[in-house]
Amino acid sequence: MRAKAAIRFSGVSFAYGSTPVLEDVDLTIGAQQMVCLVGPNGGGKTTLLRLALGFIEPRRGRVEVCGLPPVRGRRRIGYMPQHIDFDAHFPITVREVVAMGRLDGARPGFMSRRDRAVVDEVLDEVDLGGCARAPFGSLSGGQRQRALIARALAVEPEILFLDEPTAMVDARSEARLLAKLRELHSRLTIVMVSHDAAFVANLVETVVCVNRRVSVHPAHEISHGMIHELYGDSMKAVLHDHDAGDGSGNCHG
Amino acid sequence: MTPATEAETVMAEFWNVLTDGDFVFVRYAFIMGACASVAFGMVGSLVVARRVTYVAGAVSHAVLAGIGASVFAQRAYGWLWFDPLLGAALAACVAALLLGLARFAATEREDSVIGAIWSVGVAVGLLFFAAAPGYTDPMSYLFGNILLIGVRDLWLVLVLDVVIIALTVFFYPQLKAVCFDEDFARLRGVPVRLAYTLLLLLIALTVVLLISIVGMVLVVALMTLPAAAAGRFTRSLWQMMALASVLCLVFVTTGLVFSFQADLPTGPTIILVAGVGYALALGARSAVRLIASPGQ
Repeated sequence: MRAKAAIRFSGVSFAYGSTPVLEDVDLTIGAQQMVCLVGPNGGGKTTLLRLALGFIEPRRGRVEVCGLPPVRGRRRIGYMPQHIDFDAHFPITVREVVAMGRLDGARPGFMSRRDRAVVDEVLDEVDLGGCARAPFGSLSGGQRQRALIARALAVEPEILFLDEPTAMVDARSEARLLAKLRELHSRLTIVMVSHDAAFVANLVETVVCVNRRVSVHPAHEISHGMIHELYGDSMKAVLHDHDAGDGSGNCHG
Repeated sequence: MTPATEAETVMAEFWNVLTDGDFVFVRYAFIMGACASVAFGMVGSLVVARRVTYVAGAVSHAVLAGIGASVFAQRAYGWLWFDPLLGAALAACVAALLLGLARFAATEREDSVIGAIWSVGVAVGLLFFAAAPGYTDPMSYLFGNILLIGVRDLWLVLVLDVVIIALTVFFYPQLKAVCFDEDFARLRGVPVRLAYTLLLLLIALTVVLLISIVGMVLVVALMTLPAAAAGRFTRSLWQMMALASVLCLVFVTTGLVFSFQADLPTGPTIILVAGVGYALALGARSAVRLIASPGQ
């Protein structure tokens, strides 16, 4: 780990009601590291993300984001949740979704010229400039993922959180995503949650295995035997959405 | 007489009614409807997009408690300043705040609290009506009665209308963000609880705007049907708000004309027109899709 910590969990425990999810977790993610959290369902991966985002508070221990409490440090995080959590019928264009990244607290009014320039830039960066006026709900799975990455980038973050970035994404979109994340890694700390063993092995340098406790491994050490030990079963690839669209820059609707 | 000529005659007659001093209540209803349409289109779009129609239903029914309290206070204590619309606005705001508490602070299920506010509000209102000296027919408040509209009501509605529109425009990015993705809004420093409570208060005040015309039972339909119809043809929230405002104005005006021509109750007629408009929007959208992709 590098000296400067982007995210630090010190003796963190968390439980939903009486069900413990994380116990005595110590984890430091250095600046400009690319880390993947893997583990079984209910193992605590998303809980770790939510603790760092300040959406929930640990029962014990301390969480820091860029040396600050999560509620203060989270403005430096670009967060990409799973796109399947969104209402496909919500009346919102791709550009409006991305522009949410420029929101500044309760400051009223509309976007500045610089905000608009950043939104255009990140839309181009994920090859969605041509879809800016399309309804978000009309995009394919891969395009939605890219729109949500653009929203996270519009924050101009120091840290990028990606929750299941390959869920419901077709093979072509996955390859584009892989290339994009490699490019972003040169300037950002990236933390992702994934069930996709193949995707993880191709991309990250460090894998954090989360199953109530955490253990950190270099990605090349991850083997089927280790995964079997962690999960009690083989780690399966996520469902890839080959019907959701062509994953190209073409917009629908 | 051709349908076009017939429509022209009906509109000419309605214009005469609007300008006739003997039918001032129709003029008031038209002005109230026109003023309220913008607020209904804006807040209705937020309600439909956020899928909180049931919350609006609870708020609209809870206003009967405030109306009942004002009728009781006016009759029993001579508090003539305590207008039923003022009582309705206060009760709606209290209901909205309770619903906000249920959403963020209480451990109780939100739908249980919604059901409780919905029915207890109506019960309290009816008990106030029963306790007030003299007889009060709750039907006017339940289903609307344009004969009850006065100049004072118009001013109150106008002030509420301006407040609702200003707040919605001012905090549009925050309201949109909270409706679409609460977690991300929180991450960007938006005070999510405050914004959601603001949305509830906007719903509460909007409900009050047209209670005199369509009544508390039917007002939710007027809040949601124009927005739902507009949603079939728009890509973004602000477009939905603009089209819903226009549709609301069309539905209210058409309902007023029909009810006056056919001597029907105004509130139910407006809601029926809105229902037909919504059905037509669904049909039109399906037809457009069929034409655009005939193979599917």
